[in-house]
Amino acid sequence: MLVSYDQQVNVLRISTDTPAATAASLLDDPGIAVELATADGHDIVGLIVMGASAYVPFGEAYNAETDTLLIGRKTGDPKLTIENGDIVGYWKVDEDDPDGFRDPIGIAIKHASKHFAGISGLAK
Amino acid sequence: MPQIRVWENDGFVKWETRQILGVPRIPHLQGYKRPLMAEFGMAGSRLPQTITAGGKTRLVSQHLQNDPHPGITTERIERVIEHWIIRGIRTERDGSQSRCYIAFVPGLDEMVRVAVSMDDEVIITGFRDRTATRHWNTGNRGYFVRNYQNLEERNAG
Repeated sequence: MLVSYDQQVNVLRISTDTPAATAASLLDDPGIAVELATADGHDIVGLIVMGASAYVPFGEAYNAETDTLLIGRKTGDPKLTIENGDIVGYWKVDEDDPDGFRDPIGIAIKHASKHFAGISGLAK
Repeated sequence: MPQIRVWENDGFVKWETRQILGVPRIPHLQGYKRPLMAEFGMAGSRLPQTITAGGKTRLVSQHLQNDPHPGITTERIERVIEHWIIRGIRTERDGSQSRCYIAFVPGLDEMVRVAVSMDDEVIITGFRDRTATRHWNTGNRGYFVRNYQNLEERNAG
């Protein structure tokens, strides 16, 4: 996982070895784009976070005990949780959608201190 | 037999001839490798330092130059800025704002969103927006009203 912070425009970019096929934005926060491995899938392989200073340096969204950065929110439903390495995606079913379309609602980055170690200005 | 593109992670694309359905791939490739071109917009295709669209030249942010979201090309960014069908201002959680342009572009069946700085000098980022596409296609204008201020819509032109 490669994490970079573009200070000029305040964007956090997270890439992995898996190329993305498309992106979806968080249901409650379209400033967060999650890159997906396939057009109809839910494996998150990258992130584009606008307004990144809400997350770096680590603040409320960071859980030091679990070393996890949560962007957006979690779901308690394990069926709607998809792990891809250190990226955990949380999804919600759109019940108005006849196909039961899932919308992303959050992303957790595990081992965040390791992945974000190279980001300048990262406090704590 | 059709030629298809095979994407690889090393920043190259190779062309090979194979049957698309049913039959195992032909072992000897009849293609060649070459650097990815911006027109294909796959990872590894850098964007330029500036892009001119609608008569205005804007800087391209570093991350967008170096690591563009797949499918995002200079031509598509120009297209979105010039032929947007939705435009509005996004306010992020940290209070920062950007002007977002959203449009369909040739070659993609999803809308592309391009965010530009409020001083109109920097193209911040761009990506395919599956979520916006779905709400647009289902006629859910409320999604855009909730998430963008000063929302403008126009017909694709």
